[in-house]
Amino acid sequence: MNQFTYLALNIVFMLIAFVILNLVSRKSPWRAIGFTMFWMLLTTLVFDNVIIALGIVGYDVTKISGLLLGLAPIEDFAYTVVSVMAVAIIWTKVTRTTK
Amino acid sequence: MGLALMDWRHKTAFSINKKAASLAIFVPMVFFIIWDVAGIATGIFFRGDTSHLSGILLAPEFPIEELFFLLLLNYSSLTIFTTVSKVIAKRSAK
Repeated sequence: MNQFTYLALNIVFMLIAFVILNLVSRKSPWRAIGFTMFWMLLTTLVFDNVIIALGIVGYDVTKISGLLLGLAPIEDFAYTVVSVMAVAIIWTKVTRTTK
Repeated sequence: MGLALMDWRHKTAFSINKKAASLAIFVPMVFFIIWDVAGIATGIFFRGDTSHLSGILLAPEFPIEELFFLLLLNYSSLTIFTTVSKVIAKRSAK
């Protein structure tokens, strides 16, 4: 249990998310998702570095891959990837069906 | 706060469709909370010992600020997404 790494945790949750999203919708607006992803990843890079620098969040260094962008572990960007896809797909689905 | 103002001014999320915005923001939020709890339970990440946080904890190592962060994350995604979609629609209409 304690050998469970951040990368393994992300793989589990990303897989669950992608399976669910795939069931929700098969027609996703990929172009818009792509541009949104770019801006959100940039924002995350800045925001994450700030909160780590301020000591707001900490990581067990033995459980992260060690691949950092500034101070941010690369694994943190999984949240952003899932957020953009989930938000965009749910929004598209609901606005299509409630109009 | 800033996002809510932009929402009202530029019609980006709740001001277009309340139901869609709520679902798009809060469903992923619940998912991220479970993800966070799993990360905390496995000892991967933890709350920093800092005066920048209010000290209000909703669960061990889960500060109230985390909820605001997750809200901000999804609300930002939605705001950028609807804005980008509008730009794409405008361009392809030309």
